[in-house]
Amino acid sequence: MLAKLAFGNMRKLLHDYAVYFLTLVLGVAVFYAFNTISVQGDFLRGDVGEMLGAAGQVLDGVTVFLAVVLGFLMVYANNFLMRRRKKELGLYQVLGMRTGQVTVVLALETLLVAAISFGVGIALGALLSQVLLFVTARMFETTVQHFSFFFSTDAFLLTLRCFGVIFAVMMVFNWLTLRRVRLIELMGAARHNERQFVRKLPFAVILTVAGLALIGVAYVRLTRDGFPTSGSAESRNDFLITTAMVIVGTFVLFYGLAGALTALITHLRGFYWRDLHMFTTRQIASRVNTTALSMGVIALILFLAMTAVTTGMSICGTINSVTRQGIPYSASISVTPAGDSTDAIDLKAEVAKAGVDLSGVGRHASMRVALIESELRGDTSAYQRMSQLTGESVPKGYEHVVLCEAVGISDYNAMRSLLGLEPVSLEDGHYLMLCNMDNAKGFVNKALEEGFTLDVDGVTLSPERSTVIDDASAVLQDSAGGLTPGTYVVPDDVAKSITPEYSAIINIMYKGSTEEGDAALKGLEAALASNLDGRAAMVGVQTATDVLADGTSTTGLISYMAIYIGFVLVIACAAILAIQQLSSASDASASYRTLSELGCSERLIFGSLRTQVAMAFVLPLAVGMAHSLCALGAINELVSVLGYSDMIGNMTLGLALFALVYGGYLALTYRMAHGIVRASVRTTRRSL
Amino acid sequence: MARHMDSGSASIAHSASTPVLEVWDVTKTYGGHSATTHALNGISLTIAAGEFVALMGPSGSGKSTLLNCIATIDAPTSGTIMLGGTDVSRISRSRLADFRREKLGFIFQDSNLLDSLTARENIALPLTIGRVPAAQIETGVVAAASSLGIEEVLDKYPYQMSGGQRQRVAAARALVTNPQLVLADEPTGALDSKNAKLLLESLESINQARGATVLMVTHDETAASYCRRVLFIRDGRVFTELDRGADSRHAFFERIMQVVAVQGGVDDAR
Repeated sequence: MLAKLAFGNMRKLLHDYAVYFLTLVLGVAVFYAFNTISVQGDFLRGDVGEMLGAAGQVLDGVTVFLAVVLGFLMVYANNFLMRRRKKELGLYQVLGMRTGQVTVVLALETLLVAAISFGVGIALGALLSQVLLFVTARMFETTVQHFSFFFSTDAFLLTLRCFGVIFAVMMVFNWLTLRRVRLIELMGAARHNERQFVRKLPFAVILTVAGLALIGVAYVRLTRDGFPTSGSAESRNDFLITTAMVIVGTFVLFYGLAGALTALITHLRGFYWRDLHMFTTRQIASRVNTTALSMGVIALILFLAMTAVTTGMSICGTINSVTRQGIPYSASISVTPAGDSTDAIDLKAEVAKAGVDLSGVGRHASMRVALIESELRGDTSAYQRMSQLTGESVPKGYEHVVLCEAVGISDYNAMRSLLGLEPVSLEDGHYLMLCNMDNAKGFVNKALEEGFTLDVDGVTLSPERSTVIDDASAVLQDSAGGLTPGTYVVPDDVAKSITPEYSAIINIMYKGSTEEGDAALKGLEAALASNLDGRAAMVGVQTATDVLADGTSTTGLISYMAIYIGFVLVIACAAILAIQQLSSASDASASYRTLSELGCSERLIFGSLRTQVAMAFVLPLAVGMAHSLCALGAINELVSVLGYSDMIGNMTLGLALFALVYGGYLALTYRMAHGIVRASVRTTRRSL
Repeated sequence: MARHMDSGSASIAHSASTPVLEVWDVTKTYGGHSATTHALNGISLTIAAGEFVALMGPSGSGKSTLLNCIATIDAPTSGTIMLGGTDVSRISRSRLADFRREKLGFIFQDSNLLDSLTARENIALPLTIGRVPAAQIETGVVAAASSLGIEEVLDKYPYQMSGGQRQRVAAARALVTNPQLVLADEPTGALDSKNAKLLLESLESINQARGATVLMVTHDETAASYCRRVLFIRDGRVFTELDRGADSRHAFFERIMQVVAVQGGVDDAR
């Protein structure tokens, strides 16, 4: 009997609270799919696979975080439902069911709900993880090598354990709710004139203005100061103050907003006293007032989520392109002599000594990079002198950049021909500038136009061209960064005169396959290091393959997590908003029926409902988005210092996906609220 | 669904002596062939402009069905309902909402005020939906409120008012459009006797002072005794009716009690 009751209730819930189910199912699906990441590695290129497999620790942390967010969301949704079902639960007890029996009914219901949503969720998660595999592959710029449908038992068991705990917590909460409330409250829960939280008008306006002012000042501070990159305690404290201002400002704004908006609209008499505008305004104000706290929280979470998703997406994108830019060669060998060593190292001979036949590996070119000591020791940096010359201010983050590397024109042209580029000419008494950082190019070009001169040991060189060289040859050797704010190409005699040597480099283009080339160079670094012990400060053999793997691993993985977390947060926010809106629509269904009976057309009624649902979703989104845009501006500046320039392009995809999830929940919520209201408008009143 | 259509009714409807409400031979049947319930069994009644009429009857007598049909919320199986000269069955579905708003006023057992609106806004609602200019809305609301003695609660929210005040606000909302007919469904059902008396006196006064036509469904003989005429319904038709004439309210109450007692006696005898 109790089972039958529980089963019937569940079917009713399934129908009335589809959003609740959707949220449970999505929670399970996302959680399962996320935990298949280590399995996904098996289908991807070796290094990405290894990286994903090795990322266990990060994954564990994120898994715990996800579990907490999803657990909170589910318990919240469950408690919300319990509040709405008070009368029904009271009825069972009035009819003579013991509290224990009601608890059993609730526990059975929770079990059924859990079993169904878990089953559907895992099925959906299994599908999702197949799709996710291709997304992962695209993000790390690799391909799926041998695809077959996969199912991860580990992820399944983990999901099962985690959601078992969540559902158990839900049951405990249900039991507590049932124990705590009195029967009279349960039965009387339905019909009361809802108390309206109305803040006094001047107070509401003051709150709104104060909230906006706090947020505005925080924006100005963030835009002016940026993120605390210097690491000093002072800048960190400033940043904390800015953060606190945004948070407090957001809450204060939501506390005052409803009153201020109502005041504003009430004064538009022609608008307010027409159609259902009055009703719509008051309903929204009433919702915003009673849920100011959760709206503030949601706005801030959305802000975090949007920032995480867009930043993650764009960093992932830019890392891939920057990494590609940084590896024009198949491999690079470099040696930096020890500071006290005076004799130059013949790198080619050392490589041969270490047992590697370079001409067997591929085409190669060697280069000597010299260090201009006056630049290192000078009081002013090259960029500062450029700024003095042109009057342009130094790009942010480049204040202390030192340009001190110089290569001879012959070495440089040899490298160009290795890359398949036309050689360039350089007259005596002139220099060329290599620079491939988007943020700095314009600034440096200006200085070259103005004839920015370089002094090397008493020789003055002037620019050969008025623009920098920014093609692949700007990268002297394979590295993860691959970006240079400026390297001088000088006449050979000038280059030779500069001592000491900074480093010797050999760049290689494999003639055979990447695997063969990488294999030939394997062990070279260790051999060189032991042979040159004491003479070299640094020995490095970088293959493009290594750089690609390193470049995408750490930051790429973090970005990947950021995107994932961002989406879970968005789903959580949207689900909470949806549940709130649906319950408020069902609370107000009597009002909608009254409106219909008073002769209000369905067009007006549904128009009002649409506005209410849309506002509930848009208000926190607008605030969150404003915060996010401001923060992204600062992040963009920060990230672009590292050379990642095309943030906006990469953000678009993130924002589009975001809009799809959030908009999807909005549309679904409206459809369901529409159903609730239509049902109540079209049923005739029994007592009449 | 067969419906009795009298082509002559429209011409009669426009003459000066036309009653506000005419119900002619209306039936309403629920259910299929095997188990048919006749909620209304050929009921006919007429209410003239400016009347204050009570509709009494036991549960299941068909008074709710009748009220639903008059309110255009339900449609009769056969028969005609003329409201202010219009056959309500001929109104298109899209016009029904407008018709209800313009011609009818409703007072329910629970006041059905919108919680998020003040009394002033609740009363104004039918006017704003009808796109009446804001300035006229203001004067209309104040006039309706003062005729019910609730000016002092105009800026309060429903939760700040007493049950009686809420019910009078609902009455003001029903009156504000100057409807041809006010339908009151057990308006005193949820009120204590003091507040019930206040509301009935208000209805009486708006009937006399503003000339509003009121049809009130009630179980309560005291409530019915405030009216000028009482119709008794049972088994889906008018069983008998009483006219107050020159009687005092108390004398009228005694006569109503007698009819109710007889009605009960008939039930017992069966």
